[in-house]
Amino acid sequence: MTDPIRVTGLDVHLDARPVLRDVSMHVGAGELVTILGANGSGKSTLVRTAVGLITPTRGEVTLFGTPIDAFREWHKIGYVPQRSASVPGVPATIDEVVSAGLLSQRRLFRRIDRTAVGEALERVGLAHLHARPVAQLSGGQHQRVLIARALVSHAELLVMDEPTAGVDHENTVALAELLGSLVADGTTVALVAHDLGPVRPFVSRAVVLSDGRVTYDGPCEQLSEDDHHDHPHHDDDAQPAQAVPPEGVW
Amino acid sequence: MDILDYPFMRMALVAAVFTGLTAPAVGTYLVQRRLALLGDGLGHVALTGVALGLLTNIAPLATAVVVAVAGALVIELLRAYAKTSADVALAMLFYGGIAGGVFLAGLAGESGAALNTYLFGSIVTVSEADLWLVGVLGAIVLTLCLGLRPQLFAVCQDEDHARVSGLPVRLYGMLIAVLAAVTITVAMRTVGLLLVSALMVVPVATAQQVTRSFRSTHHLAMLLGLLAALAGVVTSFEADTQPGPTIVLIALTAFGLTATVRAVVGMVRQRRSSASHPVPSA
Repeated sequence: MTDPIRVTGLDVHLDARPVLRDVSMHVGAGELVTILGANGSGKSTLVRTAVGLITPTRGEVTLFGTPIDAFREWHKIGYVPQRSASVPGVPATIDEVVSAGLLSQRRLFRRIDRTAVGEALERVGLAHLHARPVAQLSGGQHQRVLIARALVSHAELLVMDEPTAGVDHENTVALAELLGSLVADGTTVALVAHDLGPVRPFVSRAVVLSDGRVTYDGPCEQLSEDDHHDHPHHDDDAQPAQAVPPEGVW
Repeated sequence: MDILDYPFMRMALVAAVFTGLTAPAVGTYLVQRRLALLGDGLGHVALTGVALGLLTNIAPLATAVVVAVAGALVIELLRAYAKTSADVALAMLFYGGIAGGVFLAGLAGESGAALNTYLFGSIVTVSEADLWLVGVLGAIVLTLCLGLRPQLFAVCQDEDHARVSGLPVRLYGMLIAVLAAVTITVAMRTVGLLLVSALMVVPVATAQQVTRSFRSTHHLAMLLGLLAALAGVVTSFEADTQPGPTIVLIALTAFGLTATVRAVVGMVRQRRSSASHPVPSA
């Protein structure tokens, strides 16, 4: 089976500054791979390059075995950008934002699949708020909307750029549980994270970046918290993931 | 005498219908993309098109469409490839458009007064040929703005996500800019090139005060634009005022009233909430 993501010899320069240097890595089918590293290590640049948002200076990106320039099966990919990337201008409801995730499968001037939208919202626990404007949501709820938008097309590969940034511990645990269930269903996940936290039990492999280079690629059991970040943390990452999310979360 | 007894007023009202509907239909996407001033920039560029028409003896409406569309494409390309920020690209449109318009009008031997009818609108001079062009272009703009709403919303709301979904983001970005350019020329005779941007933005800002979804904002903005355009034309006929400024002032009044009512309702609700949940004393 071809790897959903494979990058080889990737160099990326942003504003003439090298951000990634000779990066090679892959995300195999059915894996949950976390990409870890300190701020500025190149994590987000790596996944943004992998999904075609940044053009590399050198190197190759293939998605499901196809070079990215020739790749057309975008419905296979669900992308969750960093939350600050989505710009609220005119009011928009949760329903409307999640429906945007179906566009890769939808022909022009056709109606959207409301059932799929409802199922995706059910999965992230926001079905009861579907008509609420996203501007009225908390940070954690907003993040769940973006995840529902990625899930709605039943993507085979989820690429998530720091989905737990600014999200409280309870919602982070709930996200970890959701990722675990998605991987159990056969979905492949590439997850950019600052640290492993509650997602650790579900991770197949960790790729650690430092100063734009891969410094570790292997099982996360051999990885201590200090191996992948170089500054102190204030959150509850050391706590074990809960088997069942607490009441009221997701 | 009834307003509809005058043929020029009947044509003016039809032009107002298209202007009132199309300007906010496109404007909603511009506001969502944080490009509310794009209409102003393209309005200036269209002035160059008008002057080109005067110089070449081609219908100014047609040359304005062509030049404004070209300007719209240039600004999108500048944003995409030249790493030029949106505000700098807009500033260049402003300067280039107004300078080109006045320069070419001078070459055509026209005075500034000749440009005034396009800068501030002259709805009573709308010809039947103008009306046909305005009607056809307006219908195309409305069809695309409403029919492609899911795609255009996705591109305006989160460009990165839209790109990873496989949408031709650059193409849709250019389409929005071109629709804005066409709308400006559609509205040129009604509210004028200098004020058209107001009709693109103000009804959207008014609708945003009371709506919760993108769809309802889009529809309400179009309704408000239509009402402002019709009320403006009728008022200008009755009060003998310029239609363009009258339309814009009516739209602004609606915004002011809505924003005030919303602020008052918000304060009342906050007081009631505070009264029912008093803060315990220490």
